[in-house]
Amino acid sequence: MSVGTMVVNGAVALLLAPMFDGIARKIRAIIHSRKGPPITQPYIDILKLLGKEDLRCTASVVFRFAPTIALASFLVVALLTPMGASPSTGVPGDMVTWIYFLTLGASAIIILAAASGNPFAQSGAAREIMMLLSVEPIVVAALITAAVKSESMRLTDMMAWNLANGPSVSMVSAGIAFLLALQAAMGKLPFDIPEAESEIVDGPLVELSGPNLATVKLALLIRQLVYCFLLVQIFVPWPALSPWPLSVIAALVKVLILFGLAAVIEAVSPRLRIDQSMVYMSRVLFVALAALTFAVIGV
Amino acid sequence: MAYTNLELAFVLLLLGAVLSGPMRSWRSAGWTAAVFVGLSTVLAWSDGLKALLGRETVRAFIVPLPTFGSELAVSLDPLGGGFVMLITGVSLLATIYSIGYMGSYRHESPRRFYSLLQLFIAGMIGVVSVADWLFFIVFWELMTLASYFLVTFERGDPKAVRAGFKYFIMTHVATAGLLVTAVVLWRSTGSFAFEAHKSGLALMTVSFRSLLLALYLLAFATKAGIFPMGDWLPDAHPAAPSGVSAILSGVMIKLGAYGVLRVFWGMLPDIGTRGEVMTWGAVIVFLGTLSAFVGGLAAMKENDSKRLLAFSSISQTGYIFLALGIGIAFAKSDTLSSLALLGLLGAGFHILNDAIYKSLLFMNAGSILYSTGTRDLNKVGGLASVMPLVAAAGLVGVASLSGLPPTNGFASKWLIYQSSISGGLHFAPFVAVAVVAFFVSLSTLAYSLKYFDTAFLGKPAAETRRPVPVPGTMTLAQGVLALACIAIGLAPVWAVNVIASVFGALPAETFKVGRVGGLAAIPAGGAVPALWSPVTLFGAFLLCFFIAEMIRRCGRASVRTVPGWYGGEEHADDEVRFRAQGVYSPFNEAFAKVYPHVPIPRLPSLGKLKSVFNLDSWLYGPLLRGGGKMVDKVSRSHVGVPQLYMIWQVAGMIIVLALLFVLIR
Repeated sequence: MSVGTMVVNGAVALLLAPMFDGIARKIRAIIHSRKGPPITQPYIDILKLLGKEDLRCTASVVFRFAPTIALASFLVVALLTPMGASPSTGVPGDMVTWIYFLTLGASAIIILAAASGNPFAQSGAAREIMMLLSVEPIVVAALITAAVKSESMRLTDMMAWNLANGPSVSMVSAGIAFLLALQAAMGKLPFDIPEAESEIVDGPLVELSGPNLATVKLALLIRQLVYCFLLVQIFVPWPALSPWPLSVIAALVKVLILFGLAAVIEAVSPRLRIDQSMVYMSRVLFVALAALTFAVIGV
Repeated sequence: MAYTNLELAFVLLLLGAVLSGPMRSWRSAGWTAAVFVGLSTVLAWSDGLKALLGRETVRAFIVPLPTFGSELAVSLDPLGGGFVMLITGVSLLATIYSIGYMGSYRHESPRRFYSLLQLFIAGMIGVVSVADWLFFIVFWELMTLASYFLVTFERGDPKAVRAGFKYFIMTHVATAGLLVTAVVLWRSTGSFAFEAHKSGLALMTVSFRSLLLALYLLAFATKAGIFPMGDWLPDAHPAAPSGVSAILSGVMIKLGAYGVLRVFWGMLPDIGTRGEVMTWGAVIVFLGTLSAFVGGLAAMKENDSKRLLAFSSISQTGYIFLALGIGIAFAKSDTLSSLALLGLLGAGFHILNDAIYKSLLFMNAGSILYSTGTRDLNKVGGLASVMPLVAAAGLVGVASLSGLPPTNGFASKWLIYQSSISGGLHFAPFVAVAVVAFFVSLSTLAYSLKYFDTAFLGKPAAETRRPVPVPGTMTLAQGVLALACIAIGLAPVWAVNVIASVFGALPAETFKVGRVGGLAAIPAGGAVPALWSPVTLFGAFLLCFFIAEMIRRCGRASVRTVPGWYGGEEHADDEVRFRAQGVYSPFNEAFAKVYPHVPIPRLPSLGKLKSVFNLDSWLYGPLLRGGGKMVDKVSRSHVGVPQLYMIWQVAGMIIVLALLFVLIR
């Protein structure tokens, strides 16, 4: 039943997204030889922010509602993402819908930054779009590879095809391309260019405070989570365990491994400039297009 | 003899052109034009609906010309019916918009505007309602000429005049191709009718047919603004008054797609041309993809609001051609009929949607121009506080242009992606097209957010005059279009069903109507399964919005208004304004050379052209001067000395006698 799936997905996204961040922070602290905050720290941060004063630098209606729209769009994306609890049909959307709701959330953050009228925020927003422009084509090419292989645009069909047919050259290379772009998609070092705390003081988020900041932070954590879920569920869907809670737990373990990997990379890398990142992404795009070519020739 | 409503609509437009011509006041001329355009819209819609929903061809003979094998007749099939409705609908709103907008041209005479505007609309209606190439070209020319004069409306601006000249020359070179094909096929069939030319094309050799088809494609792609041929567009569309820009970008360039549909979908022979049709489809897909890519990147660099939208038109027409090409490529296939329908539906739906949001956005940019007096996005900012309704309409237009759900732009892009990915399963290069289309869609998001953010959000600009509020008619027209964007976006299946009837296929073959009016492709005839259920997902979105808002409010935080934070310093608004030119500069540098801009030819070349027709300069002038010189030389012999005259006489007599002697002997 799709409504049940969506409730599970929504709950996983809302309740577990901060936990993954907490674990990532812990791993980073261990690499830095620090004790680090407890794993629950992101929950505490968000709860604390929700009660803090809501400072508004503009009376714009857009500024008022954009944080909510961002969180709502990423939640919709979470509902559409196969997280292990999805049956083969019944999700009212496909890969195009998935990508566009993700873009809707990103646009809300960009518009929010522009509405704040702060030049730090606006240059962060421009960087956010440039990152989208270089990262999304890779994700799209990987998804189209899966669509060509499974002859369907539905994410659940792609997952089912991979489960049924086992790993293939094209799907594996598409997964590798996605993995290489994941760090940027999650907005982590060395690709946290839009936020760049030491340079443009958190970019689009600079004028946010209190509940608005909490909402946007939660939204961004959910975005990190859905990217990871998409990667593991479509390109590495194994093992498929029969009662759905086991399957969800298996997916969560895989996502946890990805978060750990991302945290290690984040702890040891310096930030790239946007032009350096574009060069890197163009190379990864080449890998993704190679995967697509493999898919077209049928391997 | 029965008259169709469409003829009446056409006559009303001509009458309106005559009546609004002599009026001195902008306001009365504008309202007169709006009334006539409105009446003809109602009439045209009645016939358009009859053709579109009844799937019949509305016919009426007016003037037969049997000696030419031609006839002036109304022949409105479902395709034409759809276009007639689109043309009149957008034109009516643009006319209403112009009533307020043209108030900024008080110093000009309305004589040169409303008459031409109505002739322009009449020309477009004519183009889509005939089935005869001779009159197609006549109306095509009427449309081009009227729009040329509207583009050059600002005579004082040399840029506008040059842009108009470029438009005139480029479209006419292409129209010459259309004329050649019409005459060649008339010679071989003795008729100008579409049907006759279809059979004429079937009888030709492949190479000759390809030549003629290339000429057709050249003509229509030029009009549509497809990349290499459409170079006139980014100059001409911004130069026209904004109401006209809305019609130019909204509907006129779509007539290029109409022409391609007529020829490549309707006129290619049915049998034995599968490979040929596939090739032409692939060529159109390639042109469309190139145009979408180049137009999108060029728009990201642009800081002039209307030029940005003009490049966006190139890009979006590219999308239309892309889908059209996929539809045409598989049109003659027996097994992939659903896939062909998917492509054609995507193209048809995108034509409708682009007409709506692009005319909305041109009107929006016109409102900025009206209010602040500039098109430069660097010099405007924070306009949402001055004109909140216009800003809201602009936001809907921008969301629709970048295809954000649940607007209409998303629904048609969904179809286009689906057709290109499904097409890729049967012809591999189309998969690459899908990747490019996604990339272009993101660049669309980038430039449309650049437009909206710099103009309406952020800090007010100090460089321009204080923004003035815009008249109600301008806001009204944009409001109607914005509502259409959302309505079609939420219930795309109705629009898709109507468009499917244009292509003569039952929608049930590919699409089932979902429980709540969504689109779902059934994996048959080459289409892959996909699902877009706007109402379900929008419902889910509203639920999520509610949850998110609950989360946001659960702490009951107090609200306080504070000044912005600029690293601890205090700045005036204008000092911290983020100007349009800075946005995306690293990206634009990486793609700096992507739109090789052909400079507008300077007027001296027009002078040369004029000198060909100036007989004084090369025929009469030299003749006259030569004659004068001869007379001068003769007159030098008249020195006034009698003796000399007598010598001349004697010499003359000797010569005459000598001649006589020679002749008689």
